[in-house]
Amino acid sequence: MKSAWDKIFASDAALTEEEREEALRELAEAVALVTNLQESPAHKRIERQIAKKMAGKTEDSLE
Amino acid sequence: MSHLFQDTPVSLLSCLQENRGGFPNEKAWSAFFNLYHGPIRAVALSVFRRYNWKHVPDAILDDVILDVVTSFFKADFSYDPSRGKFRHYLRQLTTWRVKDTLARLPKGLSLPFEEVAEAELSASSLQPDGELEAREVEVYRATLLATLLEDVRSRVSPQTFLMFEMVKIFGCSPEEVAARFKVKRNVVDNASHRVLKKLRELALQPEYRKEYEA
Repeated sequence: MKSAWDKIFASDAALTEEEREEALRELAEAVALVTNLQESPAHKRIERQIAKKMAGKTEDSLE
Repeated sequence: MSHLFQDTPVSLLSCLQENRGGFPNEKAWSAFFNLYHGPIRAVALSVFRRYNWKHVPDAILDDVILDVVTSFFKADFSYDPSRGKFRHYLRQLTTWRVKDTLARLPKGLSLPFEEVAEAELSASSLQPDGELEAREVEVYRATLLATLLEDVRSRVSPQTFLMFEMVKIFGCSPEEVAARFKVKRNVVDNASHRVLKKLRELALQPEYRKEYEA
């Protein structure tokens, strides 16, 4: 059985039409998973905290 | 889809490896966090579950993820590709941060879990792929695909990528996209073809293949 990686990156000739569609669907699902988390309140909340902590670190490193 | 790290000239993994020991700019940590938040969260929840803690409060989970990202970028950033997969390194780092968090909990607090023996956790924290929970692997692989796609985005024109994205990712018809961009249908087809070709080229890079394969 072909893995997602094999399906997505095989040459067109090596795939059936169905496999090609599956490959693109898996790519779209991957994008959706990452994007959904990126747009979540938790992501934004933690991002603000990291920014604050990293900014503090920059100041420390300049002293 | 938002632009995760559209201007990054090389893949994120290579970029981070080259940056080893250097101080990260905002773009670097933001790109890393945008992509790797999912895998870190999945691993953290999995490690907490090993301690029989199933419903971790947001504040505690946030702290763990924050600690993983910031410790990842410490000056002593120690990932060495020759010693194993990045996925395993990230898992180990997350496991340590979960343990740190548990150790910081106030003494005498009635914990909602039973502590697992230290030896048992240590032994299971860096297992081969087959031992990782299915969710962790699924999220990590999705992250790799998204990373690859963002890598390609930085290597083609914005219009070419957008045409590919609209047709192949969001399912718009090529005719619709051609009309929107006021170009002929074959321009849209060529754009999709170019991006797919670039994806395949990049996917052959050992760093991606190694991370994806079991």
